[in-house]
Amino acid sequence: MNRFAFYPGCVSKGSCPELYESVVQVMGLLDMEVEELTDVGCSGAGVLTSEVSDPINARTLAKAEQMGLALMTICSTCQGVIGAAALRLQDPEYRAFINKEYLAAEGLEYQGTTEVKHFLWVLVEDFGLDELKALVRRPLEGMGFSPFYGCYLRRPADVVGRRERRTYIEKITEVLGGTVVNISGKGKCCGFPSLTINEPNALAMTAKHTGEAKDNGADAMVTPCPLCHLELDGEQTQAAAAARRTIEMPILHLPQMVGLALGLDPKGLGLGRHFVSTAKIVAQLEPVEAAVTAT
Amino acid sequence: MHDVLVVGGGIAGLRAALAASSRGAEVAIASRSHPTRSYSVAIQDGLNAALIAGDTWKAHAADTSAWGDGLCVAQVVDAVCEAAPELVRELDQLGVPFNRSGTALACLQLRGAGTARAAYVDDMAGLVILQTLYEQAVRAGITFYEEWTATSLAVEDGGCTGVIALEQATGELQTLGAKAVVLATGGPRRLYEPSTASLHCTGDGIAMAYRAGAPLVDMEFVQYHPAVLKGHRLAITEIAWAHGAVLATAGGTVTGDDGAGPGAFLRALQQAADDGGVEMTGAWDADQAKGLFFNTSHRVKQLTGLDMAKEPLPVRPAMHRLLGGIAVDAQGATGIKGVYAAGECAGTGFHGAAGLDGNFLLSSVASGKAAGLAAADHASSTAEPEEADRPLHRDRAMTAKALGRPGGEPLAAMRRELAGLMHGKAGMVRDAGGLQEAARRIVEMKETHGSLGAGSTSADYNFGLAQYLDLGSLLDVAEAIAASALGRQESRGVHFRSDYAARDDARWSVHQLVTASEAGPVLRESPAVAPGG
Amino acid sequence: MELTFNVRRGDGRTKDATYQAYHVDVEPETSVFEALVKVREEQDGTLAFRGNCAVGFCGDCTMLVNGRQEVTCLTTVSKALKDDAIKIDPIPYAPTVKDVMYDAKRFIWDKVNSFSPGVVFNGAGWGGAQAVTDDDLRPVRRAMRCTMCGICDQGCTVIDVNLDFKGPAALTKVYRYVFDPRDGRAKERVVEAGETNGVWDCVHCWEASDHCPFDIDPTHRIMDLRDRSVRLGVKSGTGNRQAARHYNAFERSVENHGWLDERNVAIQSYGGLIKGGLKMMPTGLAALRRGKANLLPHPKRPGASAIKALFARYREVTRTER
Repeated sequence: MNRFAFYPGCVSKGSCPELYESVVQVMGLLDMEVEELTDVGCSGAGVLTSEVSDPINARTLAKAEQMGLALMTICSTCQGVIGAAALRLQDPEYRAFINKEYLAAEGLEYQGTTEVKHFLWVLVEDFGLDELKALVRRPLEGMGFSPFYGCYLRRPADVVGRRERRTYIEKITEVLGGTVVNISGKGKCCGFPSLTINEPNALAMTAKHTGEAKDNGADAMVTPCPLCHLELDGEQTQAAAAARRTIEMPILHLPQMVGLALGLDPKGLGLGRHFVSTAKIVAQLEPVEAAVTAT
Repeated sequence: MHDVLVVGGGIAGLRAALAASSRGAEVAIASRSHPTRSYSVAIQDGLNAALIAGDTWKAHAADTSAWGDGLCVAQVVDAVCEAAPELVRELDQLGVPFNRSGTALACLQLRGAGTARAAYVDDMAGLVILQTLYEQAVRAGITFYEEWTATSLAVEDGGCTGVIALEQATGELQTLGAKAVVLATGGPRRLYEPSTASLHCTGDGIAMAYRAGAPLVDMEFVQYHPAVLKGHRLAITEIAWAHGAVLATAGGTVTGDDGAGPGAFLRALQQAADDGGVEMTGAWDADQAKGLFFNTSHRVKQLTGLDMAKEPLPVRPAMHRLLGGIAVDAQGATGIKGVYAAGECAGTGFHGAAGLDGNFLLSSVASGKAAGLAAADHASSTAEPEEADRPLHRDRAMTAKALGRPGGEPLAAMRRELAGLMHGKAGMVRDAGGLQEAARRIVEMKETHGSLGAGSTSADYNFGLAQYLDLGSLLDVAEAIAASALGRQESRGVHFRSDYAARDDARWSVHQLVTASEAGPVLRESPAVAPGG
Repeated sequence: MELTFNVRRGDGRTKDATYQAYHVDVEPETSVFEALVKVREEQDGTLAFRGNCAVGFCGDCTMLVNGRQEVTCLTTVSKALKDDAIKIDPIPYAPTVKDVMYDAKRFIWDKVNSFSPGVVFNGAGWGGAQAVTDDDLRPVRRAMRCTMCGICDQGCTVIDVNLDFKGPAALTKVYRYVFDPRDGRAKERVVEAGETNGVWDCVHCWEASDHCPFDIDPTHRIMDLRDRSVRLGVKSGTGNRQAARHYNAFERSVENHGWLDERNVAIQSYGGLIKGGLKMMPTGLAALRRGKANLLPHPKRPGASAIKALFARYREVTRTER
């Protein structure tokens, strides 16, 4: 059985509780165990200087290392920032500096062995697409999903690793019976990092991507990143207004899409908590004979 | 009207502009492309300067003169070699991040140097020096005429009042007035195939000066680069040589170190390339390929898929440099009052009959600085001249006619033929018969060229017009090269006459100046390169 | 080999561009650029595109080749060919001047030159007490591999929606100055780079690094600039303090709670409780209604004190350079 040190990040514990809840339910259904790290800190999100975020992330990595588990993230940005820190900490000299200057005070030492994996990668690489397919109770037939990755699950190449990771959402969507509706912006920035710095830029990005999904006929967009979700869902109305158009594109968290196909209750997956209504998605779902509950 | 107008935005031109500006002159640069797109950008080696303990500028001068095969102008060689360390230091202080060894400047031993003497910037000295000089030129508030093609010097009554130039975006010809003009327009690589030419290496500045009556000098000395990637124009960096590159041919290894001189080495390579090919291999490792030769190995990989660290590269010699050019004195003054020349278009006498790796960039920087200072001094001591409008009207009439005439394929075919002709008859191996044939054919081509034109009347970005004008420049330069090569009845440096295979010091320790006339090029022998000499 | 170029024709205002077909016979290893030069010289002197050096250094020949931005003189026709044809367009994020020629002045040079140009030498040359080492200069040289080919800007997600964003190429030029130990103006430069449309408007999407043909890793250079900026105590330009407000709010939140309080960071970033609170009100109310948010104060989590200690240590470690 697979076990992971679970790093939920800030947003799934804050503004996107539905992400946290749906991940936990799906992991339970897949019989994968997560052990949540509760006493670690924010990754810095690429906002804080790496001079302070590297020590914070080294501490997180050291804690997972003590547990002997890989670290599972559920946010593209957490994944990218912690992943990049882990890569830098492969340098023995730098690691020694961080250990000595920062971690030693707490009696910690990072050895450089922790693997950092996003939930998306875990689904495909640790659980398996065939295994996932076998569990589908409610194929998402006739529904079109536009994958939207979040930058850090696409780039930089040396932090992301295997190239095929850039197509996992498409593969999962297909396994679940859904149709992939491609958009050119699927690997681009949602706009969130600029929301509080240059709002017009952020809204223009959001309008562009959600608008493209709509123009291409998607029923929903699906993202493995809660920051993308905050932006594409939470800012979509303002973005559409700024772009002088209507969009109303539902945005699903990746585990919500998976959960729906596995027969989980839409309400339990938090589909009612979105800014842009997901009612049309829910209405299209086939009823499941007996509701599934996560263990 | 500008104090100083520099034509050409490459390394020599920018260095000249900065020097003129430092003297308080108001300076403008007119260039065919944005300055950082100039050919200088592709130069990979470095600058020779006696900077390592134990080295002296006299040793540098001696190596330069030895390589130049008895034809270097000693006074120029001494001045440039003595100034070289300071010229490099100035570049470093302007922001060029020259490689260091610890905290000391690092130097490489390039071919022909008795010791490690070339300051370098990985394998991209040209790119980085050009970018750095451009940064400083913007900082100095220099005016840029970007994408303006100079067509003529505005010369009337023996004085120059600026340059006639075509604004590519509009097709408008105007006089860019100036008290002093510095030509820094580069060499005529497009005259030869194969060559390392970029599109703008048309010798246009040389042709402008020639047509305006200025003498050219040392035009017979055309130097090939030994190792250019086969099928492409990419020269494999001279720094690779410094790190033990080897050229393998069917008949064994060819080295440049056998004492036979650069000319013999190049001819042997050319023969081997014709016979069965030449491959370059090196003892460098992947780290060097990724670091020191990153720029070269990356481009090689893009173009051929070959990994320079592991695989031999197919190479061949290709025309690279004209060693002569517009005859200038040590301050860069040409035969026309108020007109200066610097960089590859200038014939300073520094390289003599064969140029040393690492001396070309140095020469561009040295001659650029000298010409810029002299031009500024000239401008400050000159009252604003009245602008001549005859040259402008003449060029407007000329281009108007050209716009109405056919162009395109006949021009392209002519350049192809000309490039083949120059490589075959006025390239590495020459003889009287071949050169006479070339000269005859050039005369015919000039006549045909006169009946051709732009191929369209398009005003903005008319590349057909540029093609027509460029071919005109190339034909003028070709004429001067063929005449000079025919004139020099001996072999010296990179000039090899199969009918006069020996060096003849008693007769030919002189330079040839060539001047345009109605009847064709006129040669004059002179002990000095300077236009007055 | 024979091939067909389908080249976009028309000036910058042409909405529905037409494509003109040119047939040309070249070697398979000929570059797209050289092949196009052949087309222009033999068939159509009005075809507008830039490019000069033909060996990948001048950076002037960037175009869209079958939909992909390429340095065309480093792309062979055999590699570019798709069904015996090659489609050529101008790079789309830049305004078009004519045919496939883009407006490099607007797209690149005006931005590059909007930052104070030129190293201002501070006396740290070679030899002597202030001498710099090769290790100091290596990152500068890496940044100076840049040929201003524009490909990173063509990949930039921000430029995609805002042409005025300075973009990775221009910001890499700033990096070249700030990280050059011979330049004495790092602080002024990071302030300049921190104004609107500068480093803080970068969304660190890493597209630039993915796009750069010369392994300069421009996104990393921008993040390095931001790190250096913070070290120098600069978190925004002087014209617009938004970036600094955001940084400080973010830092306070993580430092004091261990975790980010998105809600509060947003309010603080927008200019404090009154201004920010009003701005956030509609979203906040909607979030409350949907159970996405609550009104409870942001809780400290276990480990918060350890994170706070890391911040204290960070300030001590980096203090010397402030």
